[in-house]
Amino acid sequence: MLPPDEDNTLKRIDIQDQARLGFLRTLSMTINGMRHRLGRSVVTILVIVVAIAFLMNTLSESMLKNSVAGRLDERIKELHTAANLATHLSQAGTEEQVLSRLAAAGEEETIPSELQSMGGFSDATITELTEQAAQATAIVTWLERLNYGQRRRLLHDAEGYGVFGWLREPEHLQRFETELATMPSLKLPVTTETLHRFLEAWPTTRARSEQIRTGWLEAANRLATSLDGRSMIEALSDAEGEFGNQVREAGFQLDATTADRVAPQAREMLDVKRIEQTIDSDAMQIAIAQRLDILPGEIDPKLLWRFLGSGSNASWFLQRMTETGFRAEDLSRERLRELSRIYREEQALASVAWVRDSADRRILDQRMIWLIGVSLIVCMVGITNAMLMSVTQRFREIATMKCLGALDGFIALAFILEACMLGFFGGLLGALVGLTIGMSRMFGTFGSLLAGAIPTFSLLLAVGAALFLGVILAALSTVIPALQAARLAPMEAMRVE
Amino acid sequence: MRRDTSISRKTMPSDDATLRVIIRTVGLTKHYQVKNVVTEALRGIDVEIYTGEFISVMGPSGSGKSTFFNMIGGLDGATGGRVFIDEVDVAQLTAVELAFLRCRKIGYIFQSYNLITYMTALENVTTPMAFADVPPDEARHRGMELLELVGLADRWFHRPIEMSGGQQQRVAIARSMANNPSILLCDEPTANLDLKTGSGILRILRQLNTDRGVTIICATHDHRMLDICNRLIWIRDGRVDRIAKRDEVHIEVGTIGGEQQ
Repeated sequence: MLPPDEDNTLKRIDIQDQARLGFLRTLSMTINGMRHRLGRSVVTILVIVVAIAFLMNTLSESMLKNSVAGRLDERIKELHTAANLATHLSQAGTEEQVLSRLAAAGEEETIPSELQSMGGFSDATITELTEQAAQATAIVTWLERLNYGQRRRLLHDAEGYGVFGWLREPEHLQRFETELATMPSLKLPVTTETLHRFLEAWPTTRARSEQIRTGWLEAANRLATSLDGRSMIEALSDAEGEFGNQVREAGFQLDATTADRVAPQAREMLDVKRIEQTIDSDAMQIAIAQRLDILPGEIDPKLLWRFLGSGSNASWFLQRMTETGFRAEDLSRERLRELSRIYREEQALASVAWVRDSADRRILDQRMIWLIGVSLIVCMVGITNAMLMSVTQRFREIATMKCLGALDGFIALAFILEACMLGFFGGLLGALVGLTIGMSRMFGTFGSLLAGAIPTFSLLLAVGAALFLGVILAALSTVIPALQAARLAPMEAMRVE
Repeated sequence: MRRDTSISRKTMPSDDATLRVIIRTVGLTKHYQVKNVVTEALRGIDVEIYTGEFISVMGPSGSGKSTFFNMIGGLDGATGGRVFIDEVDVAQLTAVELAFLRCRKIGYIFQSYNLITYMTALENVTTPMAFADVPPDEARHRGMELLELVGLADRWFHRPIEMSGGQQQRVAIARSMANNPSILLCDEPTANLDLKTGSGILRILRQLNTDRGVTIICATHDHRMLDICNRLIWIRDGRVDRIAKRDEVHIEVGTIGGEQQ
């Protein structure tokens, strides 16, 4: 045999670079392969769908809940503006109310000018008082969160703002501080020096808030004289007119926007009351009962307002009111339906007030974060596992493809494309399923309140994020092992199994 | 058929005296390491294989036949020594050039067929053509021709699972011939088949060798292979035990092999 010629043997005869397949050709081969493997792909897609649906469901429910809760606060406040203002104008608040209003003003960094003028304080004094009130509220809120045993050890049985009077006794304060030192998990919201200074000033603070209360009471009394026998609500229906000026003269603050909102609300309240009074008359009660084919005793305001929701019922009701001798000329069919809508909305708000009140909003949020975190992990583990399984099953195929002349790049691209498509369709389906479940569940809870409270943009963003997550997770968990297998020599890959 | 003759002219010199070496190994060694245990599968193999030859590589299990097969096919890296295919050092090739080599110069036939399970027979055959960037229409046409060659043209749409072992192996042969390779490497092609089916496979291989001038290297246990090959290489314990021409061996088989049967 000829000895190998070292110089000559390295020359490369006839060996060229393997052609790279175009993207479209790779895509069509991948789609073709997926079509044939549909049975196996369906299982993988299902895992992705379930994982993403789970995540999306948790996400959408928490978003809807938060959105509704946020609007609930506003809506309830808005709905009750007139009633709250009526209370505010007719009687002075308690010491707690004064302090918490001051504290709220302090948080918003505004000067509570109404309270300032009621107490007749200078700017410096009211600023100082606001600061004290903020500290008082912070400490009281902090104390309220302690459990019974802790409270008992720290404060005996002092409660509310009374704790400050109690703590002013030196022995009590000493005991409080000694006990607090034994509870390292608890931390006062203010420093010890601040607490001491605050307690020092507490009698002054109380006296000042009492002064505000007195001023408030005087203003309320002044205003009472201009009521002329009307109820406060009746008077407030004229809030944008003469009565508004009288309110301001008495020493209260009433800006034009509030007045504009309060007046129609007060009129609504009056109308609602008037219409509800009609069912106290036997004639009306019997007429309605006959029309609805029920017993007169079953008629209550709730039923009445549902009844008035329809236009024909409303016209009939108006006619009946006039016939029975009620004043109805200033009412119209549209007005009745509008009132009905407002009434029912109020009822719905009241029925889901638990969202707003659910113990502490922070706890709700923490639970949500935890839930979302868990579903994210479930989603990641599920998708990664499903994709890893499907790739390892195909190591032999990868090796065979390499024997047939496939480039590493082709294998990587084919697997990326396949994973992206699985991730995309699975993710899309999952996101829609999760969203649908979340929406219908929340609709069951909140009903009509959900209308207008749907954060469409955020939900779409969440769908996009879930989709992105599905695609990225699927692609990463496929491509990394596939490329590893492709980089090996074919026979090594076949041995891996 | 025009394409085929052009290939055979390239790989088979008209003059027998100038037979070209198509595969040469020099001091080829391969060690497998599992944890701290090193297994020496090949301990220095020097062989030369000429164009147009039909070679049987024989040896007991574990002798290193399959390892040798993988080395000369560029399917696995060597630990030491060199493999020259067409006078090109395989170790010097880049990944892209190796893919070219596997795609167009060498066809592989495995004991377990290694067809792609979700593809039809025709798709299996045309896959290497796709990698060689043959237009799909031409690939289908050529694929059908090859399936006809192995006698499976009427079953082109069947999946591997719907075919018998012999049929699958025939599809694998058609696939290995997809890009008219100069070399066909077979790793125990008949080991999983019964006698009759195995004979059919051998006949096809023989036909490819004589009609198309494809160099065929077969790792095998099958004694019928002795009848159709030109030369035999015995491997034992990772070394070449003996190399012999068929006419030299034939006598031995007549006596010893005859007794075995």
